[in-house]
Amino acid sequence: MLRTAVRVLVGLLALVGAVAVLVGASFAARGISAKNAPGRAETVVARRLRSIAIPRAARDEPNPVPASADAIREGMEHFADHCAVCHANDGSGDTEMGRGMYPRAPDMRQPATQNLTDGQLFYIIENGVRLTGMPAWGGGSEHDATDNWRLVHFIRHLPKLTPAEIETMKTLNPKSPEESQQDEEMRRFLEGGEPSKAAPAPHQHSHGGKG
Amino acid sequence: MKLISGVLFLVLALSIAPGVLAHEGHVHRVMGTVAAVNGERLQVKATTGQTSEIVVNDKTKILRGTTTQKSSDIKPGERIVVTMTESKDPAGKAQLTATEIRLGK
Repeated sequence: MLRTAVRVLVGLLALVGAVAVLVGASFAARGISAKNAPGRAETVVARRLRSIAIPRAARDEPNPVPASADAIREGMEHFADHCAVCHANDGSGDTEMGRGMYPRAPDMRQPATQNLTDGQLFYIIENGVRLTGMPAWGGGSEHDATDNWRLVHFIRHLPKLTPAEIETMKTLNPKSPEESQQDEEMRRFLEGGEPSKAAPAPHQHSHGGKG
Repeated sequence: MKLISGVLFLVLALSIAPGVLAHEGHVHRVMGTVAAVNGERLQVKATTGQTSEIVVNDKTKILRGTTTQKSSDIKPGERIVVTMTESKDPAGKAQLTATEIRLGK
């Protein structure tokens, strides 16, 4: 009995040691850099853990907001204003912010997001996801919850988003006065107007994402 | 024991070297006219006079107004605004890749 207990203890210590070595090696090799995307195995494990962490009742919760063109439009307006800076208007995650996060902002048009239940999407929007760039948007009010359920409808609509809808969203994205001025300058230039002295120079930074 | 093996699995997953992806830099924009277009290579002469060579790939969104266009629709001499990212090609050379191209109406 004592011998078995000692063996288990030694085994546990060896395991803890191995874990410590692996964690140490990982940090020694990569530090805390977010430059490289997570590997496939890490992505699979993290998504599995996220799925386990969402309570069953929340996962199975149906969307109380009826699906309608108005619900999608209101979700779209909310998404363009609050979410697109990381997720891009088309949900691809192809933005300056989304590309630099660890993990990367996901392409929400893909099955990894679209296969989540409405309840899971709502839970993630409301509560955020720890150790990622996803903040918690749930303010606790019924108004916030309704907005977030509309966002769920819009996320379902992302794979069918039209170029015209993306153009509409661009007018709703938050912009600095400088970015608004550049956009206006660009529009005038493309319509045949003469560029002003304030025209964007080559390689000038812009914070807009794709889509 | 399940917990221990779960933790070990997680640590192993974290330790596996991720696929090396080139980190794309800041988003840039250039406004000017098409100086030349040759397959995936586009030369834009900016309104400031500087010429940039930009890669166009199958992910590049090309628009004239709200109408989607193909890369073959880009013609020398026409007005253009290119939104692009700067990265390094496999040889380590700096490269500009267009994410969105808007053509004059």
